[in-house]
Amino acid sequence: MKLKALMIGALMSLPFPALADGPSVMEIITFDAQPGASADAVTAALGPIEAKMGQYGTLIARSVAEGPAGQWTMVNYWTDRDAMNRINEEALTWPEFGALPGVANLETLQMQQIDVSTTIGLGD
Amino acid sequence: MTYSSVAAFAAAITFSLSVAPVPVFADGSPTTTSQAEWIAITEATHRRVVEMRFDDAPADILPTLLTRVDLYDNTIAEVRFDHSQSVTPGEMGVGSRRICVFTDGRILVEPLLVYDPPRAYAYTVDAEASTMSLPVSEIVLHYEFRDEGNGAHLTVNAFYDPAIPGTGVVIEPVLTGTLRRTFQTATEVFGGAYVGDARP
Repeated sequence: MKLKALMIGALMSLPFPALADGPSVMEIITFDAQPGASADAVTAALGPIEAKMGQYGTLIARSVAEGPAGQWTMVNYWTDRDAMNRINEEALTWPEFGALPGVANLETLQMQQIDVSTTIGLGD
Repeated sequence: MTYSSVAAFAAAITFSLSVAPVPVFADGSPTTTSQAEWIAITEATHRRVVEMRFDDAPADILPTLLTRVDLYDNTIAEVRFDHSQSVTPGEMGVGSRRICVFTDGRILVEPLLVYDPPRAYAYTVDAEASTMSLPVSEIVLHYEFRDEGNGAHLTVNAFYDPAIPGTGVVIEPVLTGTLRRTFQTATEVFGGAYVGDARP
């Protein structure tokens, strides 16, 4: 998919001790923005979620991008699948998610997880 | 049917209505058979209804949907059954446990609450026995099939309660989208058409 030039926090490396370990899972999340929701509004709603996810030391890197038709794509790199599953299961119950339904159509939310053994360009 | 047998039949109906409690919702409205069935199996307060039709008759599509989830949900690698707790041990029945094994190895254990082929089945999730966690405190999916002569109409009622009060605003659209995509895929795989979904 050709993404619009707007890239939010392009492959932002997160400063955690876990960085010593490379990622073992890449997660791709897509959703459509609510009609009329601006890019600024979407990124503002995603910010607190990303901050919370970063507290666990298992999210190595993350990128967020807006597509040409209001579809958003996030790519997360996790240290391991168990940590990713645990955080994803908890995340839907976080208060930080509260602002997201106003700007993101969560009925379109889809997630795919892919095992990775080698990554390039994650700052390692 | 003779007059006397009609009268006896009417009397029997009258008698049964007079002694058997008529299932009603909390607001006093009467229920259908399946609604009474729901009340018996769940107290969950959130509901989503999904409607679709299949080219196959209920007797054919019901066992396929129940046993081959792996064919219409690509996150599931394998489906097993444990009939040891079935009301008919060793055979599919209420109490049988469907075990969905996901591609990452996690499992979801789903005890059957209703098994009445080719009309209906329903299941919940045994959270303690599952290694996949759902953000709900209770979930029941009730499938009801109607024979349309040239296929089956299926109504799925998904009942659930968010695990944490107040998170329904997030969980409902995520669950709705998941149900929609799953059943859209089912109608594409087995032949049929997705009709729609709604919150009643």
